[in-house]
Amino acid sequence: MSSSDPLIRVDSVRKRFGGVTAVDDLSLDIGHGEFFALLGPSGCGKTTLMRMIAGFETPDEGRILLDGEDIAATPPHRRPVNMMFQSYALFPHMNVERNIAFGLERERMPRADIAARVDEMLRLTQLEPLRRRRPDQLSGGQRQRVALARALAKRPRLLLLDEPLAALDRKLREETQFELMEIRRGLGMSFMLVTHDQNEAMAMADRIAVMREGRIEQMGPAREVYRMPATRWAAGFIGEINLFEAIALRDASAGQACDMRLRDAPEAAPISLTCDAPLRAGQEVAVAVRPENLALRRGAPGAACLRGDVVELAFRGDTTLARVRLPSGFVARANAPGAGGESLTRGEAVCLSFDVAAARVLAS
Amino acid sequence: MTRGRGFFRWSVLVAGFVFLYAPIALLVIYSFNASRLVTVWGGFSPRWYIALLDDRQMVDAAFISLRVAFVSALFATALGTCAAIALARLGSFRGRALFAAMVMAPLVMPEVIMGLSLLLLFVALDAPRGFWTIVLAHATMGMCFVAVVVRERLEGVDRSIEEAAMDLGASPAQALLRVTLPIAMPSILAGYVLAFTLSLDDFVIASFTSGPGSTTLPMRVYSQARLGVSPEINAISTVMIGFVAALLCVHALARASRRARD
Ligand SMILES: Nc1ncnc2c1ncn2[C@@H]1O[C@H](COP(=O)(O)OP(=O)(O)OP(=O)(O)O)[C@@H](O)[C@H]1O
Ligand SMILES: [Mg+2]
Repeated sequence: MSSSDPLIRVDSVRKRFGGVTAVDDLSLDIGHGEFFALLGPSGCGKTTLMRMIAGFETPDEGRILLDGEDIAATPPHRRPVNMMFQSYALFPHMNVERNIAFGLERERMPRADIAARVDEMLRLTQLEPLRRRRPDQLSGGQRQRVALARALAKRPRLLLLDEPLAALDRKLREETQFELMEIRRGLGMSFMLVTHDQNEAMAMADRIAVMREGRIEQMGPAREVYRMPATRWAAGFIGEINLFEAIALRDASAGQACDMRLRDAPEAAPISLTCDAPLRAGQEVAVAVRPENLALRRGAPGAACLRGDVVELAFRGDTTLARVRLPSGFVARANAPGAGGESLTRGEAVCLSFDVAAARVLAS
Repeated sequence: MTRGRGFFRWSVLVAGFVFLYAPIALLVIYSFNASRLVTVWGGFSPRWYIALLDDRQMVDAAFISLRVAFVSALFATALGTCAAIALARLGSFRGRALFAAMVMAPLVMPEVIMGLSLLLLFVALDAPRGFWTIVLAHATMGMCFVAVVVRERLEGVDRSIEEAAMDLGASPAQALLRVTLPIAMPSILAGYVLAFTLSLDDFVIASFTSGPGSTTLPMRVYSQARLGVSPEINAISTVMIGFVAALLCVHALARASRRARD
């Protein structure tokens, strides 16, 4: 082991179930103290990946390294990794307290310390009044909190959380998110979190991986994944985004600026954008712009502007989400700040524009 | 119309229960008959119960039956629980389907065949027939019932709870002792009670596998009844019915109190 090794390294791991490839040649690292979030549609292999790290599935190919050492031969109960199961997997014959204490008792921790740790966990998850109840006497959200408390109690080096907060109401979820971040700061544990809630991933994680069909579609710092999606699919999966069809007007190598024309603004001057991949003249690409970066003006046909009609307006407190139909039939979404949005009406002709710095060219 | 239907349903129910329980009720009533004639009521008397106590053979047979039931149900429960855990928890192993079929086979196999084959086995092994051969035979019969009951329970419980136990640092043995078995315990007890009562009232298999000095109660009752039904047989049967009923009541009460405690 050297200090530069990541806590966990997943190295070209593959896992098949019969004909289904659940995890396909996947590699990733999780650093010491890192908060890593895994996003992806249902069935893309998130749980399978976690189960391999926890030791409940054996990879068909590839290795999993902990501190630089292969842990293939280490059984689950000897791995310094704890998992919160998607199905909670609470012990039905034990009350809340005993469920939480179970892992600590296995470590032969002194009784007084166990009691203190259990109390701390109960406080953290706001379960104190329910400490003597058994799992079948709890609501779904309460069970989820017991599962979280039980996994957290051991303070493992890596905590695997499989959709830990999905059943909680918004307020409790935000509080628990906050608590988790506190714990992580205080104890220096690493977290791997599976969630379907992108805002949760953005709020909590240092790095995000977007999974698709057993592979990683994109991985990087949370903000970067949001601001600079790598593919159309990743762009569509994370947050709301507009993908405008465009055509490259000339060849360009990767990283070079390239002129392109938006299909919905044929008479406007071409815009110049940089792409990560090399482009050929005539190649069809997508220009991705987040709704909040799309400026909306009424009528006035400006220079570089996409003209369309408002088809729908949704007031969202401080902003108004407008859906605007462009000539090609594509419906763009734009956020108009409150004052500008309130006076809009349905059917009105508007003009959309964006700053090229906030746009991203996606070749695939 | 509705009234008619309700009346019809009730009469079917009552007829069914009368059909099932009237003979038993008669047996119990006539066990208190003062008359020696089985079909003539001669007034109430506990005399046959007192006569029973003097019938050494009958009392011995009753104790043999109880001991056989007690011990064979222990074996049946241990083996049946192991089989259930293997079937419900070990996933797929080589020969699993065959194993499952063979564990369940005695449920549908005619008792005569089971008794005969066990007899042939004991003869081939030159094993002296007696208490232990009956125990072995009853354990074989009882274990499949226990396996069915326990497996049913285990399959109703999320598999990942044992994984959770191991994830939290329990070795596979600890996970078994602290999680799997406690969860299965109500069904294990139910399996024991089932194996016990099955052993207690088995006649066919015991007849094949018993030896001199190990006549069980059903065998004794049968051989006496062949000589003519005496009210004494009614009395011993009533005692057996009472015993089994008490056992089931204790089991039900234990379950209820466990529910209430939680
Ligand atoms: N034990 C198994 N046997 C067969 N197929 C399995 C098994 N476990 C998972 N799979 C399959 O592997 C794929 C990935 O499953 P996985 O549970 O990892 O998905 P997931 O990303 O966690 O989905 P979700 O968000 O719905 O929880 C799915 O197609 C699933 O059907
Ligand atoms: Mg999952």
